Amino acid sequence: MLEIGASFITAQASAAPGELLNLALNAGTVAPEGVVLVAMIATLLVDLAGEKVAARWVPPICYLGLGTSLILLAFQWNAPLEPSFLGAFLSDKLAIAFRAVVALSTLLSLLISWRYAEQGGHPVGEYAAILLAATLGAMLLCGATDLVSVFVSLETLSVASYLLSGYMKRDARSSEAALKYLLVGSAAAAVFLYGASLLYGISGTTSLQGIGDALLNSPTPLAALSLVFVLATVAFKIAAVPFHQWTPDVYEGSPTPVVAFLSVGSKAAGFALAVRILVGCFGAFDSQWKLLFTVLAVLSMTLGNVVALAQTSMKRMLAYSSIGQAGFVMIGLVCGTEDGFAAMVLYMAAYLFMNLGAFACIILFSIRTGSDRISDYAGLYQKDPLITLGLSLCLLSLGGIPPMFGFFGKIYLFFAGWADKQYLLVIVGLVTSVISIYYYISVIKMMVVKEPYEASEVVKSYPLIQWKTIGLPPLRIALMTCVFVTAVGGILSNPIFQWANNTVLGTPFLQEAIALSGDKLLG
Amino acid sequence: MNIAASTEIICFLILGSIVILGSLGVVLLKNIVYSAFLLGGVFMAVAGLYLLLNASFVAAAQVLVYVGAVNVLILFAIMLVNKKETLKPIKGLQIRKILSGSICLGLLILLIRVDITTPWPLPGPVSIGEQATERIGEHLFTDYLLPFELASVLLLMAMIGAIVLARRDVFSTDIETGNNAGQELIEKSNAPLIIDKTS
Amino acid sequence: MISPGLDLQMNFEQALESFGFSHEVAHILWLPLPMLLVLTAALIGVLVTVWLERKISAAAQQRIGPEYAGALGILQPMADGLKLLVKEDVIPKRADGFLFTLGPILVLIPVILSWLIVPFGQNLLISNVGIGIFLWIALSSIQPIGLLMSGYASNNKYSLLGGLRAAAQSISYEIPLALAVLAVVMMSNSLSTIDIVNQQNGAGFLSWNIWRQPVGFVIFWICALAECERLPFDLPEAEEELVAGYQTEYAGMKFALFYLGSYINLVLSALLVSILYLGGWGFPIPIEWLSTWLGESFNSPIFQLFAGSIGIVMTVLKAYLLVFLAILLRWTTPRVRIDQLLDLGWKFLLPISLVNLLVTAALKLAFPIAFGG
Repeated sequence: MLEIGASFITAQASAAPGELLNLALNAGTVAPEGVVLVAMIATLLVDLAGEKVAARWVPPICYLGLGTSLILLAFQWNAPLEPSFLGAFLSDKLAIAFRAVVALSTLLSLLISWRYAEQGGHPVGEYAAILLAATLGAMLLCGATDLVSVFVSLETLSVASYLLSGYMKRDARSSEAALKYLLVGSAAAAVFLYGASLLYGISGTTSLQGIGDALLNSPTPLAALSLVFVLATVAFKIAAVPFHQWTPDVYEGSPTPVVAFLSVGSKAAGFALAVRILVGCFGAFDSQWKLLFTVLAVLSMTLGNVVALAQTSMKRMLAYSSIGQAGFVMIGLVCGTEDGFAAMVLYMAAYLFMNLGAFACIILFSIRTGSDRISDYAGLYQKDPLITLGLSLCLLSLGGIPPMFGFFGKIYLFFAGWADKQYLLVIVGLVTSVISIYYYISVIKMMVVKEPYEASEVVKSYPLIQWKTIGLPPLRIALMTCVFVTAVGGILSNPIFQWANNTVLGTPFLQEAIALSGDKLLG
Repeated sequence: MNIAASTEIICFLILGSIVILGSLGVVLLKNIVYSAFLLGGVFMAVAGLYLLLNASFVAAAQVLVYVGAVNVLILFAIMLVNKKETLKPIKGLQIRKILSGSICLGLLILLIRVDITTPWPLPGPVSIGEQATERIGEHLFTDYLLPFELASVLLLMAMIGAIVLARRDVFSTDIETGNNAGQELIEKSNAPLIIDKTS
Repeated sequence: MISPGLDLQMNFEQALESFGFSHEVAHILWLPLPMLLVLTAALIGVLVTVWLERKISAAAQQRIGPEYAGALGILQPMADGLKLLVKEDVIPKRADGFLFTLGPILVLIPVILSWLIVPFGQNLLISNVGIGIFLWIALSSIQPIGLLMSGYASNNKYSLLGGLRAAAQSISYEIPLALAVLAVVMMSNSLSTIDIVNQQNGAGFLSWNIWRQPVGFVIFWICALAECERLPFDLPEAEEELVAGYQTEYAGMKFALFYLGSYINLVLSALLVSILYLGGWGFPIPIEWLSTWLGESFNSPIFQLFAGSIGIVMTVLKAYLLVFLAILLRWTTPRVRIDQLLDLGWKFLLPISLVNLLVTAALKLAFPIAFGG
């Protein structure tokens, strides 16, 4: 399979005019993205018929598109691996896993968005279309193996994210969030382009594999510089400290369902990009980028979790906690062992459900009360047991309390780190986990322990619970699914462990890197 | 050195200095309209550099896209909202300027150093000149087909998003209950992120 | 089939080399000549057009028009030019002097540069660059910057509004224009103006692009008029609303530059229509048939000279036919409103030109013989 890829690259470099036109595109691998695109266009067309029709028909179209996309991804799992688009895209198991995470996160984010958007008086058709475009970009980013496709899909994801974060345009916070995100994001994109152009200058090809080969033969200071540039962009996308400054403001100002997507889908795509570029391309600079990532991981875990302690707004707290969570995931990336990558995939899957579950709960709370202050959750268990239970379970899972799904993900990460002798990372991870448990538990305490007379004003005037309004049933489904998976996923985690391990086993370039680092250890 | 080569070097020096001085002007000038016009000049000079590299199609595309579209849009935006605003003085602006300036200078020195120490594979690939247009098209429809198609999705989405953000006849009732909706975040603001201008 | 015809550059350089100059010196001596040639051609074109405009407008309004300066007032444009040349050059006190001067120059230069790609015969053009017609599209996109610049620098609200309108109009109509050109380019498989004309020269006037691209022809002509800011699209200088738009504060030579620019642009657009759609330098019946009828060998020098001059005459004739049409339109149609203008551009011409492009592509696949396979 690798040989096919290599032959494509040589074909690309030395093709005579017209010769390229005769090669097979193998475009079937992007069928899942194609379905998302069709859903996006259908959404836009339906939206032409007016708001009422859109509110009725856009949700089923989106479910259908994303569901079909997930099914197609499942079919690809055992399909033979062949590079498509002459080396621009590769649907290996890692790509499939991350694309599934992205598609699932969009599906869940959409389920929890309808009521939120309608209550704010926002057109849902365009909202769904832009979110689907972001999904398309993120999914292609997960499998892109060419600098040009990486950049274009990265920009599709980013531009859609800017638009989504500014979607509540009458709200100054939303506009500010969009502007900040746009400015910082554009700067990051420019830095990436600079790094990418240096890489092209060194190797003369845009294919990641070709660049990796070129760097292996001649690691120059220039390549180190481009590594720094590319790494900065990746760190921006996964919001690693010190490239995180945009995160809290953007998370607070953006519509909450968008934050849910940004914190899971966008981040998953960022991690897929990180693995593909750093492991697949900068193999020659293994020790350097691992050192840099160790620093980033330690800073992210520490700062994210410590600052989250002081937050009073639920969204802001989850923003900082997501910075910390990204730090945990980076442990797996730094390990570079089979367990490390598998743990990363597993934790991403766990994070998808627990984080989206938490967001579903706080969205439901803000739909009913219009607040996201932590203190307003006081005494909630008497008025709304479902939110209390769901939020408690998800937060406990995020903190890593057994027997939740998150616990198994985290323990696997720490195990992989310890096995690879990343003691510093594991110890920092353990300490900051304890810190994170403190602030997660304090929210739960706020909801559960307070006596009725101690309940907040908001909770005292809590509306009657009813699920009839359009948009609320999907939210309930999403909430219950996430909470269920979070609670039960840990107990039934064995198939998921196997799935994560298979992902790594079925990804040639990861296997190569693992073998390479194994050789280094032995030699 | 023959005449052609020396003309080329002279052209390069002129264009290079226009690019550098122009971009400095874009960043440093106080009058934003001058910055915008200078940006156009910088784009033109970059197109000239492409011409020197014998890439005429790219040069023309650069002029068409950057000068004809991007820069005109920037000028439009500036001229439509050309309101004089007296901004509050920012504390420690001088120190900030010096800091960011020295960081940029450090980066420049690093880049120059790397540039000098790198063994570039010279001379680069031979230019294919007039055939470039055909080759670009060929690549766009083969190995860069995916990014090419994705770019159209990106543009479509950006266009829709821009219209959604810009249009005024907003749909501002809750479609389900018929209540008025403010098109704001559902969560009420805790503390203002932006300083209130009225106070 | 394609004859080399006259090659000015080669002949000129060979002549100089025969006088003992080295090849490089000959080449350097050649370099400024095309620009001079272009400038002269453009200026003469403008003078003729201005005279035509005066005469035809007079005829349309049942007047006589200029009459005393030369026979039939033929020297009137010269007098106009001379007047503008010696007129006092006023720069308003509150205007931005530098940008105020640079604006008209930026408007004029791209228009003149675009003449580089206009062919009058097989080798009768300044530079047969591969990107040909694309160069013109790119260059014409610079113009709005100059308009915005002069509108802003005048420090006058009418000027600013005029400049903004001009730029908006220019970028709106550039898109359908480029799409119309693209359909032609697709048929000829080349951006070069020479190839585009050669592709239309198979069977006289029957093979002209106007039969294959009737919709494209109309779109191109409408857009070209809008780009030149001719009536019915002369909103940027609509007297009733904006005094004279971005030209309000200009006088003397700077005003003359705008004036020149707009007329050169008109002649250029007419020339390009004749090249893209009316067979360029091609005679309505194939020139090879003429050679057989005249009994003259096709490759003989005399016939070559004859063919060359026929080519020039044909190009200019077709172009001035279109200029006449433009002038007639100017003096007979009312001006559209700004919203009508933008609606026409974005909601009508743009979709139509996209459809035209798609249909052309489909026809090219279906009938490769007729639509350039």
